[in-house]
Amino acid sequence: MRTFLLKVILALLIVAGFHLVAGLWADGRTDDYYLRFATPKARSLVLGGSRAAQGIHPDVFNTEALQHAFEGPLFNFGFTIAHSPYGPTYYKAIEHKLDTTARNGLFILCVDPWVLTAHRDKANDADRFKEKDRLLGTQWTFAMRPNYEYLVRHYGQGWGALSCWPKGDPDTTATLLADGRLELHIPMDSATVAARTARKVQHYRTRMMQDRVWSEVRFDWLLWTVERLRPHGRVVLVRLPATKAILELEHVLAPEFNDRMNALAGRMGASFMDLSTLADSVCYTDGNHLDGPSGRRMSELLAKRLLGTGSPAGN
Amino acid sequence: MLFNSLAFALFLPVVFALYWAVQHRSLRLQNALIVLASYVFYGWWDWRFLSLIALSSLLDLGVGVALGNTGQASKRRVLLGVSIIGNLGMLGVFKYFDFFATSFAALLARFGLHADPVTLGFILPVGISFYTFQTLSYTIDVYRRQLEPCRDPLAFFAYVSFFPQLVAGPIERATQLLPQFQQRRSFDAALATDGLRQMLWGFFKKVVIADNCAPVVAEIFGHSGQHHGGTLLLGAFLFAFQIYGDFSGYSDIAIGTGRLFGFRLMRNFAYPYFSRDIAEFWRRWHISLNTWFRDYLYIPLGGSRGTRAQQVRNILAIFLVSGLWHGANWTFVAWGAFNALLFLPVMFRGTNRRNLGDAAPGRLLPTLREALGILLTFGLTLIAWVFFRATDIGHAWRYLKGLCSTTLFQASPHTDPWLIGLIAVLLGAEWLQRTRPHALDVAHLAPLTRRALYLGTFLLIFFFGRFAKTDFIYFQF
Repeated sequence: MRTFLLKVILALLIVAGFHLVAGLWADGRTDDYYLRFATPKARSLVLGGSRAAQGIHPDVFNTEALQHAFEGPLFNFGFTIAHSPYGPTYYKAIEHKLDTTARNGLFILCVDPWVLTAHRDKANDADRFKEKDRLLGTQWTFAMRPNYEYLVRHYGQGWGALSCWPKGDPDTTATLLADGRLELHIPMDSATVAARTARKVQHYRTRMMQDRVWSEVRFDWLLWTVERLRPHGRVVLVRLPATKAILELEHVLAPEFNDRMNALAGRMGASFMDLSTLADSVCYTDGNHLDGPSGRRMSELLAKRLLGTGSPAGN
Repeated sequence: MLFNSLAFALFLPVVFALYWAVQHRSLRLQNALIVLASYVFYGWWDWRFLSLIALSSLLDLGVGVALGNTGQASKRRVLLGVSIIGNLGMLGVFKYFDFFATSFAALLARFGLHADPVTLGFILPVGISFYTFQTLSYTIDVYRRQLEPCRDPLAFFAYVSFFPQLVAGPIERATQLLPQFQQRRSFDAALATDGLRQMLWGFFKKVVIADNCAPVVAEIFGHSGQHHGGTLLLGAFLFAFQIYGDFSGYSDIAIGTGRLFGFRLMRNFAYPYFSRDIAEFWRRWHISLNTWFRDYLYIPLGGSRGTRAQQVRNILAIFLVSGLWHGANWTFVAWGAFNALLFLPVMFRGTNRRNLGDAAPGRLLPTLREALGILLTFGLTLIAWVFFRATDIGHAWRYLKGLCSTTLFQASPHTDPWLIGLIAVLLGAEWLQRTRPHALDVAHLAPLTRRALYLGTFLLIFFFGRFAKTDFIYFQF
């Protein structure tokens, strides 16, 4: 028994050694989320779903010219509608990621009706929100590098793949940048984009509109999120553009959305900016997410309105 | 709890340590630990289903004792009936009720009659088909007086719930496994080491082969109408290896884990894709289920004796029931029927027991005849797997129609050379080891060679494994 155990322990140590070393290679190519758990706590945050994750460029804000305008660097902590709709799970994750020493941070909360909806059967039952059992609801550590906890619990491949050898980059369609933004590398010719957009609109029309309804509970949690962040800096609610067809669906889903956001912002000492009015002047990867250059333009516009003027910008 | 999960990686060493720590105290304590560990293992999915295992165990323990206390034939038949109705009733309610209710309503609709089927909407308890058959084998063997009734509840509960093989087999016979719970077990390093080797090979098959095939198979079968024949062929080919890697990988891990605890579980796969005819394939695929059906259904029906019509009936019976055992869907019934059609000519020609040994005995390569037999048998199983994987019969037909086209030999854009290479590694290793119980049975090799093989297998898992939280396919059956 003793020899057997010694051999097993030796084998396990070798296996553990391989994994410890491989963990050092984990980076923004690992998957779409890893790096957000392997960066330090942040004093300024971009929050929201995938529109935020892809559409807000923190590097526009993290410049020398703006370094005194707020406590940076700004970090993009937006995920997807499946992981980070506003609610108790995202609230707790934000608390983990927030550097609470910040007093003059900048918090850009991207809002749209989808991130305030929930499945029809459980729209106002926070205990049954699906994100509770997903990444943000199950992860314990949010600012550790290498984040072995994330890799053990959420990385879906053998860790040898972290070295990108011998098969190459596991995900050639996206890179998570050091500032938390998800950068896509996908074909952007007009035919492909049109096909993707048609699929996305169809998905939203037939699935999302059927399955999801507005959730007052999520709205409350958005309010509490703003309340939680206010002592640490300026809070701005931003509605990013989407293609007309999706905006129309959003209007059906939440006809008074802008009014409610304005009211919430006014009540909580925050501000609300509706950039969806610029829907026709930007480009999308699929009708729902801004493409890289458009995201940069929107971010520059935001930076100008928020920080260039030195005063909170309204709608 | 999944074998390929962090929870199991923590669970196994703890149970192993506790189990062997008490080996000199008492057998009952060891069995109690197994019951406790097995209930934790199973309850990890859904603790509510523990009541079903407990109920099934209690029922058959009681029936077994009652059978031991009576010699009266009629009373014994009633007791057997109670067990069969109880176990199959539970299986019927949880697994088949909704299927038959909706199928019956669909049949009525064909005749213009409308019926709203009453469905129960129960979640299928993981592994229910496996442990139900295991407990049934006990009662039938006691009824046949092939086994003494068990009067030790702990040993019996441990036999029914033994966690390595609880949810996806091998389906153990009481005559083979139950006595092992009634004997003192002491640690056997050679057995445990071989268990670890078999587990390592099982993990390779599961996380490298099956889980890498899975997304490609899902894409091809999910959009089969959009793919040409070459891609559909690739989809069927990869599914053959997905299901083999998944299920035989599970069996290897189960058998290996059993060995760590001093148990010898039955072999469940014997390199089925090297079979030279379909009869040999069915002797090598899911051995524990097929021998179960042979002993408790086929032989009682008369087996290969009787008139030709009776023989056909018996063959159809085991293949159709076997198909239905796999799932409440007509695709599984069609899969069983197709296999029966392949099997019947072999039986009528009297060649069903021609290939009883391993292929190419004493040689590195098969003869041309053997190679052709292996290729033909594999090709036929590919067609059968299409029924198994399709969502409905119509889907299977459309898939096969698309496959049998002039584009059959066109290269598929979904071909991943790495994946094909990994399948080649699997086949190569298993071919070289085809006379041994598993491909990593290398105790006879020099220590350095052994260690190189362990490291090589580990590195394949390390670089190519997928650890997404995927269930084993056979859990659903």
